[in-house]
Amino acid sequence: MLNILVVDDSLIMRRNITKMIESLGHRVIGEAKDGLESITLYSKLKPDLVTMDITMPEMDGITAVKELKKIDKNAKIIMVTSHGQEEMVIHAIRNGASGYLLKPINVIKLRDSIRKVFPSIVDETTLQERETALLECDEINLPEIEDIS
Amino acid sequence: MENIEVLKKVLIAIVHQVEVFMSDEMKIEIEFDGEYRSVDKVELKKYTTTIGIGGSLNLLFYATYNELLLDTMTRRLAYGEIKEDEFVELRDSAAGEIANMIMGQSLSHFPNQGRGVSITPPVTIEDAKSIVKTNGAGIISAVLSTPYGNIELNVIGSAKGEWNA
Repeated sequence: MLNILVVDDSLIMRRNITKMIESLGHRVIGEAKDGLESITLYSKLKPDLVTMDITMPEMDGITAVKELKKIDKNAKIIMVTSHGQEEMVIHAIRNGASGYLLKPINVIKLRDSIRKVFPSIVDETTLQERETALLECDEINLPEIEDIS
Repeated sequence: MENIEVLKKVLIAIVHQVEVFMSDEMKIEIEFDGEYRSVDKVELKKYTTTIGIGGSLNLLFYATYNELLLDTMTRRLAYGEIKEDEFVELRDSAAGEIANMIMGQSLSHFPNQGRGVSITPPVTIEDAKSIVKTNGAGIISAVLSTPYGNIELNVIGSAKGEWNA
């Protein structure tokens, strides 16, 4: 399970990302409304991962990435962005972002982005996939039951 | 390129993205009559979201929609169920986020592939009445209809520099 900080100026996006993260079995330990707040919260909470919007008031996501990397050079940050902001994503990745996620977001896209940054992470869908695989395996290997009636 | 032509090209890109977003993401039927109207005044609906288009352009984008359409879009944008006590705040946020996503996706279809163009965070206003054209500015408008009401898109301002050469 990962401890995640969600950074977005949009309430509905923070809510959606938080609910999706929780459905994957991870934990949201903080939410920030702009880049500046994310720096304060990062220092305090030391999350495993940050999801970072790009266009925000006070401090944009790219500046926040640079600042977070100064605090922790190993900080893992996924940029959350729209199509058309590819140049900014490249800029963010050059400054240390670990990956990106294109809006509109869904839980599968989010899960895949997290898995790219943490390839060995086990989330709820991993567990479900393993469970399904085990059930299929059991179905194949189940011995036939004799009719004793 | 004439000012109004620049505005029209920007609006064409936005209208296309609205059509794609509404049908693919919101699953809402949308129809556009194909008309881009140069107008002197825009009457606004219940909710209006505005985004500034800056950098090598100097324009304002307004999307204005009625309550039913915005309510429907909010419910479809939200992940999971919305509690009644959080709905109003989420609706305000959804209006901005939708405009932001559409604008972001439109940028690469702007004249000059949107190079050097930046956008501001969205601002949503409620119960505003109208926008009136001022000297030197143009307003170009497109109306798209859905089963939940119309959405009207407007681009306002004067293009500058290379765009208006």
